[in-house]
Amino acid sequence: MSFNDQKEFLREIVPFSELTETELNEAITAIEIGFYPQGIELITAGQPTDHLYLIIKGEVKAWSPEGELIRVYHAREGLDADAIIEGVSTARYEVTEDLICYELTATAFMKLFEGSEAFRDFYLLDVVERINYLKKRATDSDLSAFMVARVSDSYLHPPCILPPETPLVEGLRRSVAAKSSSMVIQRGGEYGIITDSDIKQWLASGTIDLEAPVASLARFPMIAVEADDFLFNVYLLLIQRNIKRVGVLREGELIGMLEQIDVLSYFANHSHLVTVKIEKAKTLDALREASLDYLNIVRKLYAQGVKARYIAKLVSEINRKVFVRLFEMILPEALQESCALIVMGSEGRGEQIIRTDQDNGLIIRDGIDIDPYRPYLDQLSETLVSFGYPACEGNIMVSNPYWSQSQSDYRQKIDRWIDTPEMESFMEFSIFFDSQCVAGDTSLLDALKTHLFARINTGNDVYMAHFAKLTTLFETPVGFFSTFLHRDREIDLKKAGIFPIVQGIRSLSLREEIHELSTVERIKKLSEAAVFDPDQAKELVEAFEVLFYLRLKQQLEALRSDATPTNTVTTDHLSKIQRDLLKDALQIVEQFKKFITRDFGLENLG
Amino acid sequence: MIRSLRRSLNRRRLRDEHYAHLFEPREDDEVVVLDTETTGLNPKKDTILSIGAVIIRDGRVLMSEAFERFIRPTKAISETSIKIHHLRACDLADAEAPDPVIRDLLDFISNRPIVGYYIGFDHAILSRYTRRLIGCALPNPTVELSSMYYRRYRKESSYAFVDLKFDTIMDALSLPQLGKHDALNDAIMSALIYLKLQTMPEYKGAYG
Repeated sequence: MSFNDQKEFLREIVPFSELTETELNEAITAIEIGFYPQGIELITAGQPTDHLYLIIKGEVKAWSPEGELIRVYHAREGLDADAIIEGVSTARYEVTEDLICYELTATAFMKLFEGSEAFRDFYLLDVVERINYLKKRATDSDLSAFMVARVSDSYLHPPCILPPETPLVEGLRRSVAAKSSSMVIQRGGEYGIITDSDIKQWLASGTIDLEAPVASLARFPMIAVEADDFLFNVYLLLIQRNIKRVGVLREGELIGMLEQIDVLSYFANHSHLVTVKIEKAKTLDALREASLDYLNIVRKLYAQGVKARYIAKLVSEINRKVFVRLFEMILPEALQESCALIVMGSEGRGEQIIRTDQDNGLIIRDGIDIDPYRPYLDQLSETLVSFGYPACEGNIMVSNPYWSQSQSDYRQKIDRWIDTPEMESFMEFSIFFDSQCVAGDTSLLDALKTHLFARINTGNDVYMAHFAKLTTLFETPVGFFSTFLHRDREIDLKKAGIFPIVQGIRSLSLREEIHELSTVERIKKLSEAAVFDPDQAKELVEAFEVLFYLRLKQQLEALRSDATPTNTVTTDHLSKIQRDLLKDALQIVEQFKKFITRDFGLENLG
Repeated sequence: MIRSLRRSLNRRRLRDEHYAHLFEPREDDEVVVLDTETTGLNPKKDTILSIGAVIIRDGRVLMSEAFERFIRPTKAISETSIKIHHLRACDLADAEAPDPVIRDLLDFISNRPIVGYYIGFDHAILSRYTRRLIGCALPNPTVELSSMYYRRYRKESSYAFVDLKFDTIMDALSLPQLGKHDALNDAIMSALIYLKLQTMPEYKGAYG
């Protein structure tokens, strides 16, 4: 009865959702309901607090001792665990809208904290881990119906099993012969592992001893899963632990090794059929039909919990093949050899999953008269529209003469963009900077990119700064401590998060002369170039992934109900977990904006 | 005057001195918020099916000490009532006999005032049980939520009708619905109404 209602409420709140039935029942007996009118000070800074407050309804604001707004709390959020754990609150909490809340005594909270690992972890994990944790849950709960593939459904590599006293050199010989990327050492009933990357590291550090027995070098125990575990969970495990392979056990016996690459290809397999269909299509109609299949793949992969950026990668591969086929089928051969078909913007970065616009253009070798070919270009654009790539607002497509020009016209265009630092030129420049040649003569585009970097790197700091400043063009609706600042029901994911990341990373890539196109790849390169540290890079990739994932979710739902996909999510429609993910992601975006502002010295910019 | 007379009359009827403390005045400001589900709407004839009650102490609804009990029906439950509380005879086949429940309730309430929504009904029906059990009507003072609410809201609609429906009050005070309507949930929600109304000033009239 009522107690079940209380339990249901608690079960909705992470990390109470992780408690066992017994723990939850115990928690219930230590909970009261409190009511506090607006204006009451709930927790005083510098004082201990004897309750954890879980908001049923109302609003609480946390203020730093300096009077700065730190965070706003709403329904289904708890405060302030840190104050209980630390024994003293660092902030002042004030009720800013009549508050009804559950109150869990500090003693009961600490008991849960000490008794439940999941509970403890939640409060102690850092942001990145927390995102992964929440995402794991989000995918787990969304997908239960789809997680049917088991480990044994995937290809398993025969393990290279060695006795413990085998000298390393002999083990290496055997693993090479077995074409295995790892050595498994069996010691009693236990397995340990040495991987190729271990060998590489020992070589690099000069600590390798070829005669040492493998058991003394191996890591015990090897991370292993059961043959009938869900493949999807293994996928998550690989990502969480950042490992490339796991052992597969059946009744305690090692039956094979499961490699990350095989797990990924299992999930991606469905795409194979589509690519074959695209390559075999003889008519435009057949091609169109094959290309529209992409949506089914996206749905499947999304349902299987594949990361949005991998889906994007796959989709852009498919799109690329479609472009190549269209190029061959529509454009006369004479033109094909003398031009480059480029895709730009999100399509160029490989970050367009749902077809929302077509940003493409044609670079024509100097000296070729394009006018006789215009009708073919029009046909190309029209065909793309019929394939489900909507004509974009900016009319950035090959049928527009502005975007199908000779190489030297493009060169002038680049110069003009850089010499006139205003909004329109920034936008066009950005789109072009992300371009990729999908068919024709790639060198036409390469030369232009070289020219572009050369122009930027000859004393164009002011241009760079103005370009980078676009990162902060839109407000990110999040407070210092990760809660939606105003109670924005609707959040434009693109403006609030995706664009700032893309633009900030684009600016850094332009400055550091990074040729990669996808935002994630660019982040990796920037991290390698020590522009920011690996943790920051990891956080940013995670945030980008979350935003991307939520947008895809929204888009797929819109398509299902025949609506036009947008970039806007309504926070009320998100689950608590997804809202938490979004908050954390926007928080990271906000910090990234500050980083860009400092890094490009934007404070001093007019 | 009349009230105190009626009270001392009631006191004289008490047969079981174990419950004498119910007549003591309360020193602190604790109250019990209470709701019952019944077989129908006639306090003279219908019987209690379930009782939910919570204590309010220091502005807190004491969930950890909440009272929630079910009583086996001895007569048919009216169709209208079933639609309200979703309790059918078969749901209560294993429930308790009334006497131990009422005795425990009296210990739970002690001498605290009883707060409720149309508490007169609950008071009347409970008194029928206590008269049989201990000889007297339930002696505790009662606080009526709908009149508390009316005293704070009549200003805004001076001569107009003030809607006193439970859900309307919850909405007007922007209080959340905590699960479905059962005795304990309704008691908890009534407790929230009480807490919230206490923080609001009464309307004393235009010249008051």
